[in-house]
Amino acid sequence: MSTLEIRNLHVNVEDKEILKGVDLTVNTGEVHALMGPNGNGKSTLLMTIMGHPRYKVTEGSITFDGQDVLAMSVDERSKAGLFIAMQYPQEVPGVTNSDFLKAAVNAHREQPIKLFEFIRLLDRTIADVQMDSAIAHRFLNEGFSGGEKKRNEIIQMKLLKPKMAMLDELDSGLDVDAIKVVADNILNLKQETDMGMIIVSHYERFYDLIRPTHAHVLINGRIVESGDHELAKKIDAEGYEWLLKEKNITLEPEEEMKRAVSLGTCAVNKSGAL
Amino acid sequence: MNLISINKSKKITVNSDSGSLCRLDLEVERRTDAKVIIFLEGKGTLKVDLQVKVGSDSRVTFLTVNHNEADIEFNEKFDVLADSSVIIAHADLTGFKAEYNCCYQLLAQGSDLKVQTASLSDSRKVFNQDTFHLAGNTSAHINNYGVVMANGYTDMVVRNTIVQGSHNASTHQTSRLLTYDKTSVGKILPVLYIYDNEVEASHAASLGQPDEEQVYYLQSRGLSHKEAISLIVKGYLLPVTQIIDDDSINTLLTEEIERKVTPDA
Repeated sequence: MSTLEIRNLHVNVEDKEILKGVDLTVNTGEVHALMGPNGNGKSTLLMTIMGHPRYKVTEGSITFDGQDVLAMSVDERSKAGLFIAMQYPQEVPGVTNSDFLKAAVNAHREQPIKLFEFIRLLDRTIADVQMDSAIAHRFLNEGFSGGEKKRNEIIQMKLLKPKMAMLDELDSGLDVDAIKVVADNILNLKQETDMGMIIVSHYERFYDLIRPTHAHVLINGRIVESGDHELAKKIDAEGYEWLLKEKNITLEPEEEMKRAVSLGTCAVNKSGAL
Repeated sequence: MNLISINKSKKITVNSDSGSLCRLDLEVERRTDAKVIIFLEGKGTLKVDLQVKVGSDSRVTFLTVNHNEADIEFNEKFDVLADSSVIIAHADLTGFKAEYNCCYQLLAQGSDLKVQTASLSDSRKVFNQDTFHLAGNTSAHINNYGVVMANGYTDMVVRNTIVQGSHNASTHQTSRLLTYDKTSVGKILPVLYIYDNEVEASHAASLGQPDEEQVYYLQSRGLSHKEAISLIVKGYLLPVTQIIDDDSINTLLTEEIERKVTPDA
């Protein structure tokens, strides 16, 4: 069994404290739903676990099977078994999906995968998520629809077989049928590998399909309530008002995080303005 | 002077060991469908003057691959006649200085031009490209992609001109330079001179170091920082391999790009 342990995690983004002492333990085999109003730190938590350089840990610890995750580079975290399916997968023009996927698979192996073995594996995985095989030869995420990008994240997850997968609003941009396809693939992989999961979603429909074993509510940078799938159902039905009253919490005004916007293939506008 | 008539695909090798000056005059016969590949080879400095007249109703692709192991100056001038489609590509991945002075003239209705450049520079590379629309219903797409390695310098000046009376001309240019680190210097000057009102024209240029978000994304899949940068760099250079429908050339260029940008290769 593998365990991801987060203790008293404080995280700043551009000198603003977003996470203010998060404690969370996730074991393989468990599925944790992470809920909360927008702008309260859910994506920040996942990006920090994966090591995004803009998210600065000011206090606390993250360990995975006892290893200090914060001391690892991003790629070392991936090789240790962590995976994040991103809310906004990046486009990389000129790099074909198959070249990227082969490089990613090889990064997790001692010996490079044989070409024909890789082609068979990729074809099968693409078919599993019900995508056109031509997706392999298109440039990475360039010109993909929102749904195609999310399915491509699942292809990557299936190829890399992580021990701990973090899914950041994977269901956004997917239609009803696509959500079912994605959920089936996640469940099949979980059955195969017993991976642990942290899932951020605003939709009970997705949680109904994935069936979380745990649920947490993150408000104002802290986990204020934990429970099981019933908690997710209650929030879907009643919202967060009851919890704010019960816990006597005042929701801090949402300050929209400025996400770096790519202006092309290399220039980045860090102001977030389009 | 070498006068070469082109009516079928051809490979031309210019070897600097045989002389430092080379003048090539090519005439593509009308209704020709062909690929012309020019290799620059040798160990001496080289100056090439290439003049090409493309006859009407032709479909022709020119690819110049620089493998010369010394500095070069490459001057090319294309005159394109009616209803001809010309693709011109340059692949220059050498560690030597290179200067490309290019003049493309779309002389008659229906002529069409596509230019694709892949440049990898750890020395000094200069591209001066002029495209002239001298007739209506002509089109041009100029795409320049370059990677400037540590201590390298690349300068791209791209001018597209549509003269008065060239109704319905369409001209577009894209120039992108990826700078490897703070010692890399890149310059792009996109210029459009438009003297007619009924035209389409656009330019795009970007210059800078690899996008932090792209690097993070690739690293989150297990690629090291070097491998991630290498993959992004390949993304700039590999499109030139898709210009010409020739497996052996594509493999040659792909392997050369892989060799030059793969970490610890």
